[in-house]
Amino acid sequence: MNNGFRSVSVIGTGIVKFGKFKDLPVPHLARPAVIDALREAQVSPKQIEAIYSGSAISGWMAGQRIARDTGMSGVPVINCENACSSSATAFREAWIAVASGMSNYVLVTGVEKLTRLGGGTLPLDNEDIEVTNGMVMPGLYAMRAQRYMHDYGATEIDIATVAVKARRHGALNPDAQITTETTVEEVLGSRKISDPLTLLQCCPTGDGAAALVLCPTEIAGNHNNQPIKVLGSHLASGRYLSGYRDMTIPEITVRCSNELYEETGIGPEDLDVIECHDAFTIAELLYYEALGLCGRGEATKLLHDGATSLGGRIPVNPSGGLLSKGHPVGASGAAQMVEIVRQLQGRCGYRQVADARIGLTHVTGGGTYGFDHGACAIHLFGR
Amino acid sequence: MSKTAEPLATPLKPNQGRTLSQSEFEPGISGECQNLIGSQCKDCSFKLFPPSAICPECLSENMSPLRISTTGKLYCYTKVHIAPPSWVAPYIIGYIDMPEGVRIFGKVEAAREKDLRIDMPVTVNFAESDGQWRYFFSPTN
Repeated sequence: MNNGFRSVSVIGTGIVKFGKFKDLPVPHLARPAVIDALREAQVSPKQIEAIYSGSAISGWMAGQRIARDTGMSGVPVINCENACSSSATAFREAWIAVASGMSNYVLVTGVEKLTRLGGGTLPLDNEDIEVTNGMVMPGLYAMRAQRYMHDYGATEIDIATVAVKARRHGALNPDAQITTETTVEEVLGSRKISDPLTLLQCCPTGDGAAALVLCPTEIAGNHNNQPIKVLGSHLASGRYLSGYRDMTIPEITVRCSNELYEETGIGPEDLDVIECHDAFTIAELLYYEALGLCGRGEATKLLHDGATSLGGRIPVNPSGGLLSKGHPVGASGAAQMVEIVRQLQGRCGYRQVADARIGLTHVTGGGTYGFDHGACAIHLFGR
Repeated sequence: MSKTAEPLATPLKPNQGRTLSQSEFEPGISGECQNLIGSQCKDCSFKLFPPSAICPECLSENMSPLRISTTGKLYCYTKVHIAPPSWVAPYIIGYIDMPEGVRIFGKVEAAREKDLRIDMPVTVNFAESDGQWRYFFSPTN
């Protein structure tokens, strides 16, 4: 470990089935995930030294509100907001606390209740010159898709196929919001959102929560007979560029993943399973390339070859991804990590990736003008 | 006479986008908009639109106005069908690469949508209402 850090392991995981829970208060949404994680870790709430809570639009003090209802009031809380990377950022901070020797038992939570906002596109910063000129998140991704189709000859069918794969995986995940499969015809025939993206190519609105308990690896075996090590953690912020940039290269993901690969000595060829930020179908294709799974313009081939499907050489989003689970913004990072940890523990039933040893989670966060995205958090886990 | 609170910002009318402030455009003889104005940093050459008094890259205050050409290249665009508050869908948005090296986001209007092509030349247009100017882009003819 670098910096004199000690090794950290995940000893408990919890997740709720994502869906729409308009009448459920945020702490009650998170509570089952927190209780499951503590129970799995065989850690009492009174042993938790700090809570790292990720949420973006669920109101201030989300961590304290959760703690109040889970026997942990009074525990120091760090509330993290990094848009869609909120709970991955919370996880990173929790990892640093344990790795540095400052804490032994910490809880990470990710929670979001998007149904608070009603439906439609996420409300963006109304000081942003692009937002006030009509920008919406689906529009941003749609423009990336337009440019990618133009530069590499990808078709609307190619891009829609990402949703078909996501839903095929999601149908095997009882915690996903949508557990039915779909077809290219149904995807392309769904309501237009921002050309070429249709409704089924966008992550559904929903609520959700996930939680993890961390401790030093050296004592993890006392709590869980299958602790999973955190092999690496990296966080990046977008670079402000006012000039020309290739919108088909997500620079923040390229930079964050390259830096993490270099830091850990683990490369894309070493990965067995990935959960990446498929908020929109085009995103997953761009991330195949940005994470180094294939070369520029080769993402659609990787998809069509089945390489990133369950049974393929590098399954991506075995959980069904954000496209099937929904994207309760602050919860997604932690939810991806719960999936990867359970994949490495062999607990994923019909969607189990055979002999998964090393897994990667990737989230990006938000948009603001001049940036690819605001934040990106990538983590590596291993048996 | 009763006093009502002033809104903090001019409420956006449907699809009219944000108005330009005085520093953001160069007026012609009759006061109409001619060019968008950005900034260029004299110390590190960073260029940006909208303009800024302080360079966001190097914090220099040596900023000079950057007159942006009226014609650029349509890097990408999309027709938005689900609108943010105060906008009525559908409408088209795009990123336009200006020859000065800045990329500008804006609404794109075309007589026929199928005339739009990636990388086509587009020209900035200005529209006035209630004494306020807004900008958008359309195919150069």
